[in-house]
Amino acid sequence: MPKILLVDDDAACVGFLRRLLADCGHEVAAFQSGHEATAEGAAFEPDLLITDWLLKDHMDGAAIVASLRERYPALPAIIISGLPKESLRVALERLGNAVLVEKPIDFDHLVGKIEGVLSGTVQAAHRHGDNRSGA
Amino acid sequence: MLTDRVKILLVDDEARNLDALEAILASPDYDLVRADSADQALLALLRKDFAALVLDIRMPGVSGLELARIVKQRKRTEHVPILFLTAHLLDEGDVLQGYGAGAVDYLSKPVNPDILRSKIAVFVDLFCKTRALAGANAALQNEIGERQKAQEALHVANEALETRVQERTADLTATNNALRQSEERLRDAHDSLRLAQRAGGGGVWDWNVVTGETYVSPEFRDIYGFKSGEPFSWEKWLAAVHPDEREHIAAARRTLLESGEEWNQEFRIRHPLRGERWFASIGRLTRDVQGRPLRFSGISLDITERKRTERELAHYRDRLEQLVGEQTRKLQQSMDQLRRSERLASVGTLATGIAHEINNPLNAIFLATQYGLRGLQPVDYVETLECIKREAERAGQIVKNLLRFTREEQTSKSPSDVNDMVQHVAGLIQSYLPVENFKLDLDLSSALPPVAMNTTEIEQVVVNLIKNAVEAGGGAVRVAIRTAAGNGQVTLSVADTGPGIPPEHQLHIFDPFFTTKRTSGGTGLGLSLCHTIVTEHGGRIYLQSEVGRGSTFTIEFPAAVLQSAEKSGDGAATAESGVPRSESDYVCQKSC
Repeated sequence: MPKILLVDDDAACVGFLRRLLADCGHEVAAFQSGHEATAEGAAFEPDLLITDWLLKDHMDGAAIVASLRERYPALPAIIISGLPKESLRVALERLGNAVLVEKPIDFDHLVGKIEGVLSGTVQAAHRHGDNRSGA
Repeated sequence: MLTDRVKILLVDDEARNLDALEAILASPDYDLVRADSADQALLALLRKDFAALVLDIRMPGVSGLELARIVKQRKRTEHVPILFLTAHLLDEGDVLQGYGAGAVDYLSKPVNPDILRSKIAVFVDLFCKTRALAGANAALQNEIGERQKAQEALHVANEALETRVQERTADLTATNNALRQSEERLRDAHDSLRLAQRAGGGGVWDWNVVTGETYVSPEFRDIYGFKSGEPFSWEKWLAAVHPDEREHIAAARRTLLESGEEWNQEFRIRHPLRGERWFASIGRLTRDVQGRPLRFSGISLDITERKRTERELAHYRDRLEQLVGEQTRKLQQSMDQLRRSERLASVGTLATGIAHEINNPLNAIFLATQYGLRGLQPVDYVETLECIKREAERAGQIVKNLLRFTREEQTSKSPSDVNDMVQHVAGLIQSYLPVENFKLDLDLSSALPPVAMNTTEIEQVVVNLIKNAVEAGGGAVRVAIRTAAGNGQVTLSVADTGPGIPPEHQLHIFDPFFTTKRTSGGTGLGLSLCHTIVTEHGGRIYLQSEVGRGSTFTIEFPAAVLQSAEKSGDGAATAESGVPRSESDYVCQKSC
């Protein structure tokens, strides 16, 4: 079963998303702070990172991705954010191997993205890939 | 002096001759002095004045002739008459010598007593007359001296008088000149007065209250429409005054004559040719020491034109005031709109953040409903619904905050806590400004007195300052908000670590439409509005900035004070605790 590391400082979001993902058969480790996620999430050996972009402890999505990829360089990431996608496009391109799912999250759409990323059909793995095709 | 006995000197070397002479001349009027030698005679002559000298020609030693010569040579005795006595009747030579020596007369011995007495009497008479003449002469000399002195004194007095006459003449000449000049000036003044009357449409009057004589100038007659030949009377004058004002003016004139001094009236008259005219009458009543009226004089001016101008002016002024009022209202509306627009512009800047913030509760609600609808597991509906409710409230609060920030102007100020306001702005900003590496530090003083403020406006000021700092700072910005109290003021400062503001921009930073970010949509009104709002709160805002070291905007508010603390019984305790009882207890310090 794919292992998903979930990070969001919004408790309600983390709670329901964790339950929905678990119902779909995923093994989920959920955190509400970037520091906890990077400190404890590495041992979880995730196949996929789903993280919020802006977090209250000022460790944002980019920092979390960078930190985890020190150990798992090929770790794909799905960024969830309430910000408009235009404002994050450049940051995501710089990050590479990451796709954006906008809040509020349509769970079926998210599931599609997860499957795509994990099966490699969604080309988010390349630095210069066109992320907009996955949006 | 004349009553003194006349002295007669008898000189003979023989005593019996002397005895005989004494016997002959014995008289209560005569003082007979005897001398038996020339020496004795000379001695006597030195001591006394003699009327006559009876001298024996032949004497041993110094003879009578020699003595006579000595006597005649001496100034003091030269005039004493000498009567020689000679024994030799026919000795012509002796007689001649005697006359040569100064003798006046001679007698031959034996002497005929009657002749001697008569001759002596002649000498005595001569002596007395001479002496009297000398006295008269001396008196005359004295008189002459006195007269000379008097004349000198008269001369001096005369000179003084002369000088005074000259001075007086000079004075009179000067006075005369002055008088002539005065007359010329008076004539000039008279001409000027005439000109002034003509130019000003006025005429003068001068009424001698005592005699009843009244002078009115030709101009006076002209402006009232009186004929030039007609005698003037005050009744006629009053009749010229407009009927509506006649009673009032007559009363004013009565009051003036009874107790007044200054006359200053404006009234209408009816001119036989020019119709109704407006007049100003300005004059003065002079009184004697007892306060009785003496003279009443002054000028009447036709002020019809002035009145019309005044009316027009008043009309224009009213119109102008009306226009200004309208413009002010329009301006105020524009200002209110401008402020709202500026706040809405801030909202535009914050829109992304606001969307992000609303998306979070929406996301939670969305996920919760999707979870609930799936029915994959026994769902805890209560928990799900509570979550939905909570998140909906959160979204509602965000919308409410946003609307509060953008609502219509509230003009009232109420005592508020600056720290609460800062906290609210911090909440708004921190979540809505999606900027990487933006950090907001708060350093709030725990004991702040309240400030009378319009919270919406002041929040706008602080949001503006933070927004400016963020926009100027690019990526990494640290903003610190500090509050402090002291000297009856509350100070709020917004400091950033941005690039700073160059001195040439600092000068214009609060000017309307001054902006350095025109291309990125700055209106140039943000800081100008901040300045206006702070000033309206009785405070001041100023900037300290250094290029490369950041900028600090400081706002000083007057602290609100308790006004009625001492009026009520528990006022002191309330004032000490610093807790306001109601908003109405506060007034803005500046307005006190």
